[in-house]
Amino acid sequence: MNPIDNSQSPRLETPDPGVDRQGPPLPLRHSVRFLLVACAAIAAIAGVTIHQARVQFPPWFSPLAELGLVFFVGLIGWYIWRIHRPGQIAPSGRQKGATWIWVMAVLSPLCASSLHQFAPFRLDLAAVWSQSPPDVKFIPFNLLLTAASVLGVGALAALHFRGRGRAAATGLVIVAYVLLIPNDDCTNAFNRPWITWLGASPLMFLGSNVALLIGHCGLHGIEPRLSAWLMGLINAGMLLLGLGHWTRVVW
Amino acid sequence: MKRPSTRILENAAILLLLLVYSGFALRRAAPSVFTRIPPGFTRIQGTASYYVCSDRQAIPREGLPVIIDIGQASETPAALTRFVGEFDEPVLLIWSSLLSDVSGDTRLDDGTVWETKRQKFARLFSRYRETLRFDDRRVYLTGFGFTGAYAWMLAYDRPTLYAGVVAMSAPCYPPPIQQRLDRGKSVITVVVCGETDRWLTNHLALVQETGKAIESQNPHSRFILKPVADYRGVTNYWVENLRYVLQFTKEPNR
Repeated sequence: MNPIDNSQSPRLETPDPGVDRQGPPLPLRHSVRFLLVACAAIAAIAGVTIHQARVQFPPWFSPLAELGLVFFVGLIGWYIWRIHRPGQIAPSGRQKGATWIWVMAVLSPLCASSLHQFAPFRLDLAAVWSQSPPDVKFIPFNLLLTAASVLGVGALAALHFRGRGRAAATGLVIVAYVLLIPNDDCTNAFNRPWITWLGASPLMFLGSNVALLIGHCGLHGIEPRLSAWLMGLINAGMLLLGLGHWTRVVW
Repeated sequence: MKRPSTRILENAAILLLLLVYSGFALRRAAPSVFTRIPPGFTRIQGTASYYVCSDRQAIPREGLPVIIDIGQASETPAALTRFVGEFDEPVLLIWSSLLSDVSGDTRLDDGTVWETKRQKFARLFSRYRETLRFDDRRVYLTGFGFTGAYAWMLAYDRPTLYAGVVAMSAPCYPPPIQQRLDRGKSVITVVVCGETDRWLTNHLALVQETGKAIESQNPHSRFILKPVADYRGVTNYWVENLRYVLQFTKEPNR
């Protein structure tokens, strides 16, 4: 008789690479889907706006930006598909890549703030504020949102590493809801249709929004490492756009 | 007590976000609902204009002096309320969205934009005059920053029409100003700048030269450099300078 009978003892499951693991559905998947669809719509509008206003930019910018937005919308579509693909979700908290996801999540609103020359994270904020037109009314709200989102996501990261991973990931979706509120009325070509329709634009945090939602998916096991990379890519895109504006290379 | 399901909370959050967007759109579409501006609204060739009497108690009538505020792209007509109740007599206030489709990146010396806008404003002005029947001898233009420069450019473009212009924190380099400074003879020109305004400090010589020129053209014109004010802080002096120009009436054949 074999002294070690494995057939009766519990053993470590080694997933078959060809078979999907069954897991619980993604928490808040309806919200994530709704927000991702909204972001895709906003990105599509941004694409049309950039195309229409292409003469205001350097000749290389419009094709590059439109290509970037096509990739961005495609990425959103892929995540929407992954959310609803059965058997891909693992519980949050222990997967590899979580640290990088949180690093990218904290950096995300910071990178978006490069569009406003890193306000409110600069010492000469009062001087920058004094140079802004008096009728740009949403800037205080925008700056508050930027600061609050960096601090908020930082606090969520701390929550995650103290063992409240699920609550922290839920927080990311709540932050994504808040960042979608129109918050910027700077009259540039990107914001113009939104200012006409709503008086303010939700465009500034579009990248952060998608990055945070990707982070939520990643924390629940949807391609955690790839999610962290994609968040980094989105952050880099926002940072480059912001620096392009700051240096007046783009607009 | 039974906790609401996640799905209900999610639906509530989605609904709330949609309501926020609807609120923004409603506020944009019907500002008078929120600002209590009487519904004086006209749309001429796609350009929206709002008007209100500065004295809410007064019955708007024909023959009032008029201040035309060249509105900023980001503004709503609610900006007019900053002048309501500020004058000793009823004044008709018009907010014109003439520049609402101009990108914030457009330069003041963009000749194509200027040509389009000056022609459009000529048509707008005729319609204002026809429909609102204000006092032709007391028409004043005003604006801040980019729109302040436009108010100045428009005033010098057709100086016979306007009694005065108040340009707040307005850059003075556009050719329609620099090439027509002599037109300040016919239009009382008040330019107010803040001493710590970054643009001004970078172009101080041009600004001071222009200031001297406008004051030499007309004894009532003023170039005011506010010592502590910055670009934005100059708006604190807007009303007092509008009060100043309101004293003057267009002299015939001047």
